[in-house]
Amino acid sequence: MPGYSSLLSAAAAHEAAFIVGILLFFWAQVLFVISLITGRSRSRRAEKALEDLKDNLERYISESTAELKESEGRYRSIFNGMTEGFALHEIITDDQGEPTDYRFLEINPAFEHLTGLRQDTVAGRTVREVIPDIEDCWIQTYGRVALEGKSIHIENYSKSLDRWYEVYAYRSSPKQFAVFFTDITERKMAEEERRHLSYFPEENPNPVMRCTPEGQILYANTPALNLLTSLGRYDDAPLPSILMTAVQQAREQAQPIEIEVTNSLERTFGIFAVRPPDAGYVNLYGIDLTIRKRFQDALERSNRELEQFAYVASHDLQEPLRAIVGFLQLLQSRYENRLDEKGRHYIDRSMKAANRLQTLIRQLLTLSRVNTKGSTFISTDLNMVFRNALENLQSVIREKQAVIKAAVLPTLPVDAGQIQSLFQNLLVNALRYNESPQPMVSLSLTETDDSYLFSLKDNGIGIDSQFHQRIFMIFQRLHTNSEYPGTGLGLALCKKIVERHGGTIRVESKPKEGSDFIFTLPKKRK
Amino acid sequence: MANLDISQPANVLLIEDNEDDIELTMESLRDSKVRMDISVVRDGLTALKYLRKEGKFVDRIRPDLILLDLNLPLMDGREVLKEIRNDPKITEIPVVILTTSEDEGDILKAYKLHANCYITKPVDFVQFTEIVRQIEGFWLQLVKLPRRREEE
Repeated sequence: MPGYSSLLSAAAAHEAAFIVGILLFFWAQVLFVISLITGRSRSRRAEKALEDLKDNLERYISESTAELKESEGRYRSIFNGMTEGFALHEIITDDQGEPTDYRFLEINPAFEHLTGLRQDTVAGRTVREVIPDIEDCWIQTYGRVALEGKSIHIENYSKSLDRWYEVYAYRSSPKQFAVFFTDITERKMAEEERRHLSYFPEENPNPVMRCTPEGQILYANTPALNLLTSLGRYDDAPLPSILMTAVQQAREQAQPIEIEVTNSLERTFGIFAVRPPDAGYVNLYGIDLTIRKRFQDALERSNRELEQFAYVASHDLQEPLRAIVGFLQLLQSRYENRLDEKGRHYIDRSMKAANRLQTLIRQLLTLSRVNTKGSTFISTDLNMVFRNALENLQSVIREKQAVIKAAVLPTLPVDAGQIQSLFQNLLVNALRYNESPQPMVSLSLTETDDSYLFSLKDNGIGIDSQFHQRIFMIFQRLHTNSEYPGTGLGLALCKKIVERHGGTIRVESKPKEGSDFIFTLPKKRK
Repeated sequence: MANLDISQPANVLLIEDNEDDIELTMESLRDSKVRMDISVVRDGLTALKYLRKEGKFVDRIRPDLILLDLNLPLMDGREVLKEIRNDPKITEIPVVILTTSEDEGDILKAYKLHANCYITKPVDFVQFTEIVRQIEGFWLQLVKLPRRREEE
């Protein structure tokens, strides 16, 4: 806008100076000729001079007119081609010289385009004729421009057109005024949008702030200011050092930086430091993690305690159990001939119960140790692990005359002891809960992008779908011990082992149609 | 050939707090071919006093073999083992860890503290008796042990 207006006013000044120049030149020549005429007798020389002067003048005027035409054409094309609306008006005043209306003299095509008014319908008409409900204030405002020569520059919303305009008006000549204007609706809407967006971080109950890479705070919402204060920052001090570290890291890399800070009130915040691409600042977003952290800590503590409890309990349970078995055996070996049939039967039953208790305690111990006492994950050939599991079950396999097939297995980072125990438990179940004259078990493998899916299928008694979840819970059994022996810990152990490895386990099965235990093991250690 | 003087019984110190285990261990040693004097102490601190002949243990003979449980009151078996190995007067006595713990960490730690061997007590008494037999056969009959030093 200012560019165009200064260009046009410069053009007007240029034009005026040009005309004054011509007049001065002409006047000088006339004076010269008059002096010739009055000073001396009429002569041919004077006539000749007058003739020359006339020629010069004519030539000069024709040249100047061409120049003017060219200049006029140049400004006309600017006038017609500019994207700003332009209109020239004449102010109309009453007897007291107060402005009452104004008349359109000329409007450019952009004006037509922006307002919908047309040159041929408005030229020569007054604004009150064209827009009958025009507010008086506009006539007053433009009146001051035209009469007092005071330029104005305003942004104005037109209700009837539902658009925003930037308007620049100045006095073009006495009692006339020119108006430039641009449609700034888009810009206004963007500004409005930005203004609304700026409420976003202000309304956010979590800390949001922006700072320079040097740690100067550019913006901080109220929760952020509270956080800064609780981290020991007062007044306009730069960022606390813990946040500064995150800002420095964010400045150097494209990935958001995530840190945790705990303030003087024992509240923990997760802070994400992000540097938007090409931005000269870093944004910090905080989340209050206090509650989550408290739950997490409590959960971890309770898990640890539970595991510790299970470990100690099962460990300490072994001691009296060993004594019971030991003394029963002493009784058996040293006093057998002094006992009758019934007495021997009681000892036998006690021994069996004690053995069962021993198995239970052992499994409980193993279960409680999965997470706390597990070995590190080492790249292991699972074919070997599976072979070891089979070897340990040799006698059962032979006794049941079972056929076991296995796909070629991968080498994965695992706790080999635990995976062997997983294979063994699943195999034992496949053989134990199996009434087929020839139990068949097959281990197949499916590879996915980031893990392997193992499927151990049997032709056993199967499991009703309502128990598919329950069988993985601790001490949950579907049979009495006399139907099928077991402790109710095997599959719980399997689940715990698979989960420790970052995988999942489930069963697909129907009664009498065998079971398919499916578990995954990730290719990479998480 | 046995390395101990047959005329003298072997001295074994059993460091164990569980009365059942003490009795079962004694029972399993009852029919042993090796002549043994078995002394029992029931906590770690007393065990060290015994070995160092402190207080009422002043007249005790230094044992030829120590059977050490890991979980003991006052001072646990690991600390006792450490003390034995750091004490030049008793450091050469063979120590057999006889415990219920099958924990890998316990096993590793015991050997790092220079236990001579680590045995997990089986629940089955018959097996336990067999193990005790093997301990006495190996440590009191097969291997050569350092001579008891002259008492000061």
